[in-house]
Amino acid sequence: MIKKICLLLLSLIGIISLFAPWIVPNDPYLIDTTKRFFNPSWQYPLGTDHLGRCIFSRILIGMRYSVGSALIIQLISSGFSLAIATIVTFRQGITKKIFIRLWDILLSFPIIILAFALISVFGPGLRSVIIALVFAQTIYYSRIFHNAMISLSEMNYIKAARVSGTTGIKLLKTHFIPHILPTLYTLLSLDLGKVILEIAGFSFIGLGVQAPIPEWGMMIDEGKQYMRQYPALIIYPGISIFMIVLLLHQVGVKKHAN
Amino acid sequence: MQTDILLNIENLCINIGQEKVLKNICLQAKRGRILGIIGESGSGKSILCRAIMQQLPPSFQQTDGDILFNEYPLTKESTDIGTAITSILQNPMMAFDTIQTIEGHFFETIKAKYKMKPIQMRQLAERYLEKVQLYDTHRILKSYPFELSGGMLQRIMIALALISKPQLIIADEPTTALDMINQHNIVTLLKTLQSQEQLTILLITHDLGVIAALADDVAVIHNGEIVECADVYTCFDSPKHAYTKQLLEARL
Amino acid sequence: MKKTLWLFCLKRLASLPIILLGVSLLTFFLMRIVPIEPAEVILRLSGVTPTTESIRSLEKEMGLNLPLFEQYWLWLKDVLSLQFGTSFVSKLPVAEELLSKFPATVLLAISSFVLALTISVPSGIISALYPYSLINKFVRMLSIISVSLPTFWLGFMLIYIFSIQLNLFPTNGTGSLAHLILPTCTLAIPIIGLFTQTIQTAMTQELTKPYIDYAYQRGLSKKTIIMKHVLKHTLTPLLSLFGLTLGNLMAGAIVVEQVFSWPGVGRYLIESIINRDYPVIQSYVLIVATLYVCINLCTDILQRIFDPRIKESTYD
Repeated sequence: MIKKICLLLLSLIGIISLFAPWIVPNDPYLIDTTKRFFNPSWQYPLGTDHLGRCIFSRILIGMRYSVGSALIIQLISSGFSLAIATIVTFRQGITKKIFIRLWDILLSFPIIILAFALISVFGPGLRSVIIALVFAQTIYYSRIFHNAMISLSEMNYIKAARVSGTTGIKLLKTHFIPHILPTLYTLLSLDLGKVILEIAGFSFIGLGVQAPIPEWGMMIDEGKQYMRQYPALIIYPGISIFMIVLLLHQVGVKKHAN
Repeated sequence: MQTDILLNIENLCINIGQEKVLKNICLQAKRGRILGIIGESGSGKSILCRAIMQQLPPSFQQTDGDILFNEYPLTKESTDIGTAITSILQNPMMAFDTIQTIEGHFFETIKAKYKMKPIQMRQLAERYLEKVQLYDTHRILKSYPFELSGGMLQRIMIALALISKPQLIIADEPTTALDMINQHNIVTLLKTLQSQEQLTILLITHDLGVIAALADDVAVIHNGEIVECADVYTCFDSPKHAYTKQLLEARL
Repeated sequence: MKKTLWLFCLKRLASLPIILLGVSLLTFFLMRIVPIEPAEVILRLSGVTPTTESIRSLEKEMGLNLPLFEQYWLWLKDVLSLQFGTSFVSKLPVAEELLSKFPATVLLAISSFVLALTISVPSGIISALYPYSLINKFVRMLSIISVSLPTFWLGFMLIYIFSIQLNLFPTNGTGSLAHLILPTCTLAIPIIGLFTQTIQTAMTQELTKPYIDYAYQRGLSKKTIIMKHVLKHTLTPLLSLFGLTLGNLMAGAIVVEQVFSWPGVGRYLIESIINRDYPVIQSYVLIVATLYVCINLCTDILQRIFDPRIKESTYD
């Protein structure tokens, strides 16, 4: 029951993000210093911020950045990790050894640190954050997929298929992939929320999205100096992040239980 | 006042939900004798055992009847459990705490009853290990359960059961998890100990051979009911109930 | 038993330099692959329009024109003598600034960790022992909520409620226990959610095991069984999770430090990233990697002490 409601809400959010630029009540980038810190009204459903911009519009557009980037990151890293895992599982010799050593080294400390290093290479910005997080997630997922593939290849039906002559790509397509998919799906959805939080975190400390893009973490960073008198600037973006991640967790957990 | 009947089960009824698992069970364990309860799997004998030890799983309920030990009803809080009534369980490999040494098991079992210094506890443990014919006491005490064989663990269980000088021992399928040689050894050991220490044993098993070797009295349990109850000779020579006859024939 | 433990310890310690070497190499080269050079960035930042000559001369000054391997070797030599190189930006030794700021971050990480354990262990136990109680439902709800919260936002909310409105704690800075409380709570809350849920699940599983029944039948009290046996079985496999979390806290503290203006490595690191101050970033990565590996070594040793079943054969 709860799962259905959450899925429904998430689909709604997905649709809204898609059409956000056309359904926002105001221009999220329009600065008007005469309209600072307005209270919520019909014109400005959540009021305005320190530069007179409509908070609600910014939140809607921000949805695209937070959720969209997270989706991109998860999709790209899944693709890369599957490819890497397949190569490492099925090729013997030096490639395999290198990757296994690499995983041992890279996963022996918080991947986030490496993400920091990568961001420094490309300079602060959304592009850097995406690259850094794709890198981090790929390393993490590729090992998981590799291990899953190893245990799959031990299973009897795979051995049977091999014996009966199926090899190579066909073996992969018909037997491996269908069984990896559930794991993939679980990882993808469970971590989506985590990635959204990380993007927001990077933007908050100034390494991610740059102004004037209305990413939610960024909005919190901008609004923090006005916290005493106008906490709304922080509260709304924060609640938005919280709600989406919460919904994702609910859906992810439930699906996993299935 | 000491009676002849140590454990008296009267009209015990146990349900799971609406379904009846044990129906009006009446049993009596007489002092100094071994009462064997025989039944196949699903007959309800394990539930009976757990009910006596006041350890019914959450979904089971005792809807009627009494379990009297020395004429007093047994409850979860009875201090007799673990002292006057001890148990030997079916699967010794699973029953021990795998990350604690045998010595640890002995110490905590002893500590629950007596106040002793570690040296005294160790000596007591060694004495009882020798009683169950385990003589490499130092090595055994220092070992962990996963380092020992099923047969040894079963003997250790017996030692642990004897240490509090109990009046009644409940033995729940003590030979089922063992190979034939070990089964024979354990049966012989139990027989020896019983006559040495004048024990009263409630022996639950599906193995007629064990009943024949050990039991003085027999109760046959089938579908949650006691269908036959007599001394072992009567039961084997002139069984009254059809099911008992079936059991005997199946063996021979 | 003891001897194999020592061997294990030595084996792991031996692999420590290899891992660190690998980490430092990787970081070093990762940061050099992009065409934008630090020299250029620095010039821009100091308001000078970079021309090819100015870039070249600054690079020569900073030693950036040497072949990559030579640069790495020079830096490595510095590290081995515990010097960590010179900052591109401030021209001061990295060691001074970085190492002077690290203790504050470590303090924050450790206090959050301790707070999290103190609250989550009892909560996990109680909610496992009473599966249909309100506490159980409450714990589950709280867990999901606390891992969905953005930590930095939580920090601000706490400041708003407890500092601004209720005036109970100072809003930022450091200096007293009162300053430590809000940042610690902020970092600890998501972890409390995670730990409590994990402990509750593990313990519920553990309570179905047969050795518990036998322990009751030997006359042990419920309290002894839970505290002595079940707890040990439950927590020992979780030790690696605990170690991992403590390590991650070192990194996560950075964001929280910004919220509370906590004088740890956070601000310094962020600026170094923006300025492409490579020696600082490299040293930071190296230090955190070392701490992380040491923590994991400790938890692995503890696990082997508490659970004699773990054999030597598997390493990762």
